[in-house]
Amino acid sequence: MPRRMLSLFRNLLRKHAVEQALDDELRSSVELLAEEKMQAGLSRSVALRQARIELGGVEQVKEKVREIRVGRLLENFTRDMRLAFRTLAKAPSFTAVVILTLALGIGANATIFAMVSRFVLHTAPVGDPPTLLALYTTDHNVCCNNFSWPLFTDVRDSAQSFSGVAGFYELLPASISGSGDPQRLWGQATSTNFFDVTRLGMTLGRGFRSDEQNSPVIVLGHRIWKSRFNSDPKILGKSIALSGHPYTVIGVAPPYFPSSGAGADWTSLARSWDSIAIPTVLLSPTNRSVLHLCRGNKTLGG
Amino acid sequence: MGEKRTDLLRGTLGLLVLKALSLEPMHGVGISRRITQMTMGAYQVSFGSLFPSLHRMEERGWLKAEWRTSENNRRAKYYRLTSSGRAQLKVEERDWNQVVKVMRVAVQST
Repeated sequence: MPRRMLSLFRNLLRKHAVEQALDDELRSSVELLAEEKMQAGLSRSVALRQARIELGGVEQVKEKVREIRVGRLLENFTRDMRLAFRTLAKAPSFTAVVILTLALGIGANATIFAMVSRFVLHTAPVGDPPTLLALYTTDHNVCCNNFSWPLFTDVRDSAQSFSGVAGFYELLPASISGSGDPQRLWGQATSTNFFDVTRLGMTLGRGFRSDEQNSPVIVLGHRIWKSRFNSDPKILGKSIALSGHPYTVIGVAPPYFPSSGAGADWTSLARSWDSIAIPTVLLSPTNRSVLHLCRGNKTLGG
Repeated sequence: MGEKRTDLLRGTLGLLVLKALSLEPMHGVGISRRITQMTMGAYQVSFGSLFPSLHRMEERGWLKAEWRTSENNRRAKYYRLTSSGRAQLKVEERDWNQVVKVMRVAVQST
């Protein structure tokens, strides 16, 4: 209803004028009533008093009129908000405690939800998740040490219980440059069969081939593909500069590509394990420890 | 002003206001007086109900208000029926007659 919208704007924006008009109207009504009474022979002061009584109180009538106006709810709401802010401003320490409490509460909830969402609501994007295991070494029953590279290769070559064993090394620092500002990233180095063992559904392209151990090829994480390369669908085959060396993009990992647990900030890039031997990356495979993933045989049931 | 009924049957005030204004534009006090007159003194509408009602009808576009000088040279806000106000009066009259007819039959049935 355009007419009511007009009234709404008038009531909200020209509040003063609207109030003034109401005041004038009621005042003139009192005068008109008093005049009647004076014509009946009352003195002006008595007539005015009786007129006000008959009207029922100027302020009360005003309030009743205000109640029916369009936008009354909005007006009440803004007034309540203003009162709330004023009250809060009067007790700053209380306000600070409340805000802090709320912030911590919301933060904790958001964190928990992020984890629930990651681990419960989104199943890992790997193929057949129940048969995928993570292996760690233990030291005097203290869990979760990484494998050394030779131990990894031993397990990979001789373990009969697994259909495949892949390794990856987390948190490999690298800087990416080329078009746009240089950017510091964390990558993962993986064995070439990493994408085969995890059976990740690639967003674009493919994982590493076994003959690419020493090739300068790279799989981009979904997030970096989106943020730095604008989700470029023709990214495959392009060359990007990583810590000063050119790498050819062969694939893009799916979103929610799992880090080995903690980091929601993972998924920057993954590259073939053996390319770590490239001198710019100051790691040597021979003594570097490596986590690894393996795929259990169905018969063993994980 | 005596002990007169001020609690108008719900919904009838609008009809009475529209009816009162159907002859000529009037200010609030005049409308009140006219209603008392039309109902032969049976209803004394309180200003606490009348003014909100007038403003609501104005916002709905049934009435148009303007400041004029009264017969005794006072400035007063006069309300005038718009064309949609006249249409509304017709609707409310018809509805009211319907209610009266139905109620009469209902009350007289045994």
